[in-house]
Order: sequence, then structure tokens, then C-alpha cells
Amino acid sequence: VRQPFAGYTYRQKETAIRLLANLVVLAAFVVHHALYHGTRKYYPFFFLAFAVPMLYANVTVWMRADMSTDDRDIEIQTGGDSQGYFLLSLGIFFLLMYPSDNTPTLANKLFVLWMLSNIVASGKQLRLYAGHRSWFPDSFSEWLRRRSRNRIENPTPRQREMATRWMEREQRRKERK
Amino acid sequence: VSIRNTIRDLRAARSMTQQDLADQIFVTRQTVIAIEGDKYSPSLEVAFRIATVFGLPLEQVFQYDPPKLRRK
Repeated sequence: VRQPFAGYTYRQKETAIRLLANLVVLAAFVVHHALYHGTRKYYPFFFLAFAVPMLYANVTVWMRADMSTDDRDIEIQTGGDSQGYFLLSLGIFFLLMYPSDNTPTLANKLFVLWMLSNIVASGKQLRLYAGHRSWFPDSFSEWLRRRSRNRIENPTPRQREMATRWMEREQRRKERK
Repeated sequence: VSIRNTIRDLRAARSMTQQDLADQIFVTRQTVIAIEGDKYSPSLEVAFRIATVFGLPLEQVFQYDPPKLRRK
């Protein structure tokens, strides 16, 4: 029987486990919040629910797997983290834009945001490990790239006309100055 | 990926395993698998290390396949 994550590197295993742990904890947190409207006495449970499996998984993987990493691992880790941090900073920006007087509500939002950013980062890393460049299917990404290139290198008559008009307008503006 | 390579053939010709190559170019075996499967373009340094292991110029190991533009 082929074991799960058998072909994965140490980093890939760690990323997959982190993604699963985050998904489970976030789902449990959302259900708990919907049922009990955020009773605070259970909050430490969610932090433990996140921390304990992560610690166990990391120790297990560390004991059994090859720990070596290389440029590709670093590149992929950076690529995923940057997307996670982007989401986190965007979320904090919105939290600051629309502040809440209720501290537990703010804590809930921050916790969900943190989980979501972790999920985005781990998901992106796993996608990069699988050899894909973006979240979209490869054929769609390739179509988008080709479309952008074509706009620049092979413009349609309408695009060419628009560009000519824009250049004429710029020329007139320069002459007026 | 628009960079192709002949690493699999070169490795087979020398009876070299993926792990052997990985050890010689200081990367993990999974990275060698990804490079061979054209799923990852290695850094210039790793590319030169691979070419050095096989004793060949870089262009004989890696080939650039420029993406074709769709004409309207």
C-alpha cells in the first residue's frame, strides 16, 4: 500500500500537513463560532488544536524523512509566503479601515485571517511543488499570457487605432505646453 | 516551461540514478525529478553544475524553446 505523501520531500510533507491542520482548525472554529457565538472559554482549544498536530507532524516527519532542502524549496516557500502575507496585510488594512470596539470580535477576525493566510500560503506552495505557476489551470494561465503578449506584439486594428489616437493626443498636449 | 532538457537521456547513458545526480549538484532528488519533467527551471548555477557533471556545454543539456505567438 502506497503511503500518503510518499513521493513528497520533507518540505512538501510539512506544507501539506500545515494546510490540512489549518483547514480543520478553521472549519472547527467557524462551526464553533456559529453555534456558540464565540464563547471565549473554548478559545485556547483552537490554538492547541492548531499547535499540537503541527508539533506532532513536524517531529514525526523530521524523524523519518530527509531534511535536506535546496534552492527550489526556498523559492517555493517564498512564493507561497508572499501571497499569504499579502492576504494578511490586506485583511489587517480592512480591519483598520472598519475598526470594531469589541475586542473578542477583533480577535476572532484576526484568528480567521491568520488561518486563511496560512491556507493560501500552503496551497500556493503545494501548487508550485506540483509544477504549476499560478492558481489557475495551466491552459488558462497560458492563454492569459499569450493574450497579453499578442496585445503588445500583434495588436488588432482597433488596438492599433486606439494607440495612434492616444499618441496624437499626447503629441497635441506636448505642443500646447 | 519553455526550457527543455536532455538530462534523463544523459543520465541513462551514464547509468546514473536521480539520487546520484542530485548528490553531485547539491539538490534534492525531487528537484531532479521536477527538472527532468520540465516542471521547474533550475537556477543558472544549478544548470551549470548539471552541465559540468555531464561534461557538456550548457546548450547541449538545456534547450530554449521560445513560446510561439498566435497570429491574428
